[in-house]
Amino acid sequence: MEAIKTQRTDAAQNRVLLNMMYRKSFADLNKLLRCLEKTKQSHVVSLLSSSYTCNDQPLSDALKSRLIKNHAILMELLDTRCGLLAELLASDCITRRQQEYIESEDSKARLLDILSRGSEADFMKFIDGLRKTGQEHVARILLEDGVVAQIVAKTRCSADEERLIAERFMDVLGNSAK
Amino acid sequence: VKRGRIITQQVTRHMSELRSRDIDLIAANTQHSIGLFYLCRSLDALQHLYDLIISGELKQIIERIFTVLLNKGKSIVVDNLNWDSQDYVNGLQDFYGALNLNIFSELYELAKCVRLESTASGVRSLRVDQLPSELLQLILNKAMGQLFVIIHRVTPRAAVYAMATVGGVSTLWWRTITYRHHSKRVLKRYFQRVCSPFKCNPQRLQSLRIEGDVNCLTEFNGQLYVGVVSSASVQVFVSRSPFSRLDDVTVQGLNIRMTLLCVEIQVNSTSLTVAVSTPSGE
Repeated sequence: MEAIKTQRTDAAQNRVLLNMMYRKSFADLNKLLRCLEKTKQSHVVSLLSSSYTCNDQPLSDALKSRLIKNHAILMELLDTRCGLLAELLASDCITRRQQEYIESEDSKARLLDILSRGSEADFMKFIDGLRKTGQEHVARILLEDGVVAQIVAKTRCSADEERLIAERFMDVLGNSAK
Repeated sequence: VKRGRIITQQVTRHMSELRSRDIDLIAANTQHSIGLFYLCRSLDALQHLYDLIISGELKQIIERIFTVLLNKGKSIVVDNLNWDSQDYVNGLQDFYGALNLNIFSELYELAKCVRLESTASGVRSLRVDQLPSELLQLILNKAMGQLFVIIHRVTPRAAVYAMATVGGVSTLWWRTITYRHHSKRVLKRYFQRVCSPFKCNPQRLQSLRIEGDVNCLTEFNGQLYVGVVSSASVQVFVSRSPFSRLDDVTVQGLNIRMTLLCVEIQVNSTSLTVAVSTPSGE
């Protein structure tokens, strides 16, 4: 246990755990699989056990690369304070523990990290959550093919005026999308 | 109500103009001044957006929209529009990767090295059109050659597919390929005689858009079957211009690492086209 905990990164911890599992019995492997299931990691179980049948598949390379490619833009546009986390918890996309972990600090980066290591089903629940919380534009970035260009317009307006323009812009975009 | 209608009209007009060029305005925020987020769906779209910025057209449109949105009786002045040049280049390379034309990243590496007097904008120096046209022509020929090598074993029209794919990436590249009068004449002759039934004007030919790394390709009964690495699906296109994509065929257990063949089987007088994967040469 200590040998795993002392590792700095998730990847290193996983590597040590897997090395340990090579030397363990079949019964121990089954215990690990059960633990993974309990902690909402069925998509990892499906990778380890060929006999295991579940609908949860790990996130596809294409979706994972969209998360990585658009990370900076998602960090700007994603809003985790508008009830998104509650939606994700309600739809069983994240656990209570994960919600607390996300909320404690750096919430956007933590949420994106959890999603990139999660299942495809959880990713789709995240998309639903975005739509329910008025973030259809973020969902589009993740689902549609293409490149997002961020263009910054420097104006002579005050910060309040700029905020007003951006808010009204989003309203009009929302209305025209409907 | 009237003002709201004017605002919606302005924004909607801007959006529909962009949409006709495969660009969607999807969001705005105020993290740094006013950030506008555009989704570009093709390489041409990305370059068109760039052109709008360089020509100052986008600035004028945005000023008009901002003025209507704020509605304080004063005209909003946008000092400048900033698009991070690295983001632009990353975007270009994304599209090249998607088109399976990684050779073009070399082209941009070359373009970066080109030093010109007109480097007022960081992005401008990265443009392909800054390259001497002979050099661009050389690189495009190399790219076409690479594509030709991939597909020539399975279709006698490999040259057409290669040219159409490269030329379809952007209008500039199509112009470069067909710049010389002699090349244009040869291409036209090729299209009209050798590649019959390609009777169309080569300039109207669309790109053959294949998703993924092409591993094998075969033409059968007027359709083009394309096998992609690590995929159990075969992408099917009409083998005539404009190469419209038909439904993909998913064959469980299909091994795309081998040569792809198509055969026709008669079952109870119903004709079936079957994609078969066989070791090369058999």
